[in-house]
Amino acid sequence: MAKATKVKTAKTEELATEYTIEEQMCCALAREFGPNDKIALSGVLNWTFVAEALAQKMNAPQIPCHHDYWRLGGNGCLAEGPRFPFQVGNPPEEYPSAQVTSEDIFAMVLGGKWNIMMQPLQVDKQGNANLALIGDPKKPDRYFVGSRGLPDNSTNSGRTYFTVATHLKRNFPEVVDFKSSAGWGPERLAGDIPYGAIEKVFTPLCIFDIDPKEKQMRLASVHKGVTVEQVLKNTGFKPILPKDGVPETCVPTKEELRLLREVIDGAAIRRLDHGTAEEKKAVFDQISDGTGFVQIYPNRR
Amino acid sequence: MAENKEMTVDQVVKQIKNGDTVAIGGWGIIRKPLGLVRAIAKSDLKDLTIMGLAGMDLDMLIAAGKVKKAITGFVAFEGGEGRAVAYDNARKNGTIEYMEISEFMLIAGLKAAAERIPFYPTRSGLGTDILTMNPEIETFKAPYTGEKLVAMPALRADVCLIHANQASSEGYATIKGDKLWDHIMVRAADKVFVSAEQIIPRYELQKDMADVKILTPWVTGVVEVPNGARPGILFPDYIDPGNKTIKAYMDAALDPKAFKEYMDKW
Repeated sequence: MAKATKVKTAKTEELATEYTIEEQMCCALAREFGPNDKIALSGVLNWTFVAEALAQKMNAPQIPCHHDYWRLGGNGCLAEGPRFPFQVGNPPEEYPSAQVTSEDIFAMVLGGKWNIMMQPLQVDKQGNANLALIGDPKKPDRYFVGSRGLPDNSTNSGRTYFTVATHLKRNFPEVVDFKSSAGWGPERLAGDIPYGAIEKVFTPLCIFDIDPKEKQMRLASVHKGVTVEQVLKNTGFKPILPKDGVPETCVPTKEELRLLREVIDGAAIRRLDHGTAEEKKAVFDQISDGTGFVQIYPNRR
Repeated sequence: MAENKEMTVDQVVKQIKNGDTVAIGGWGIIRKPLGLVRAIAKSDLKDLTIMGLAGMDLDMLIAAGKVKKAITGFVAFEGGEGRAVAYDNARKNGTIEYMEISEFMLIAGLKAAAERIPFYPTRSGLGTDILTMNPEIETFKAPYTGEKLVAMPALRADVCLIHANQASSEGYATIKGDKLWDHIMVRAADKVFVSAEQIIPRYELQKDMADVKILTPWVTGVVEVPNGARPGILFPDYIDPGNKTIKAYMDAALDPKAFKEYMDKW
């Protein structure tokens, strides 16, 4: 299994002074990928696709993106470029693709080539995630979609990243309503689950990782302008706090910001995932400049 | 001369018995044999166990009161806009039995059934509530290495239904997009019925021989059902989901009268 390549930016690189939380998150996720990675799956959020595209431009040019793209007849496709929405302002020659079948996907999951970003409903103190339902599993208040591939990814694949778009207590309980994925419970602690461990959780407020000693969720960093108290107040469990204090999430370099703003994501779709429905709609209207869905998703009509 | 396996939708439905386990191919709303599913929903069949990577197929059969038990890797209208309102409702009210596992556990169970072995070894499910909720799924210590693995029990079906782009009367079928897990599913069932957009002579299949993913030894019957996966999608024939029809379904699914009207219309 490819270990996460911790890519440090050179000290000589100039850090940006003005940047947004989304840009911080994109840089933080992009820096998780390096030359040893084979493939990354970005899940369904816009900013994670932007992050993956940034990783391709910076430290991991070899990783193909996986796109959920039913129209190509497969369970998606592989492309040497970011997601289709980026066709706004990007040359089409960056999008050669191969059909990826379900069988291909599970071959990559089971073979440990797959690094995944998933969007669970809840993540708990042990790093277990829930995608299945809310409430008592035997009589749920709401059934979501089931556990899908989370039980497969979290026991077989490469690294697992979670992104949770809303940071409230109910999203981060002491124990999740249903363990769809294997975090650091007794089985993993006993060495029974050697693969697919959760690496980090990205929220609009902070990044959690797993404390190497305690094997529980640790508050790794807070985003620009967010306080530790704010995170603790909105988290249902008590995360481990680093002894030397909680640092700010990585500050983008000027080069990273240039790539994000000018090359990869001119339309700034990275802003489309967080905030209220009204806020997201306002961003969407602004990006699409009144032309609606078509301009952002030209292939999805 | 080769056997002619062509039949009608009604003949397919007659081959299914009350209480049968029916495996349904496709994924979410991708290439689901919804023409056949609709016929079952309108039939007198009952107490079915439905198995698959489920979407509108399972949901519609629950809305029609046909389902005793669901065995699923997930239940989602993936590929279109919508959600499984009838399944959600049935789970909330406890009106159906269910075995909720993961995507690969379902596939592993089908593989075991296809190969006539009692279980398939996998790490999938370890450390999750899938094992808590399904205590019949055992773990074991692997020979040679001593690793802990899940023994996913074989999932055998009485009947398998899939949808294809084209089929010949002998029982060959082409799938032009992702074959998903249909090629495994057909091997795990006693009777297999393939609906296809078109039944064509076998010699015409030669043009697309690489797309012939389903072979005649597995197939019991083929039936021509144009638009047989709508309002879901079938590559490359129709790749825009019928979101309006899906919405009409969702609005009707929980109301018996509205559901009947929907079924009469579609």
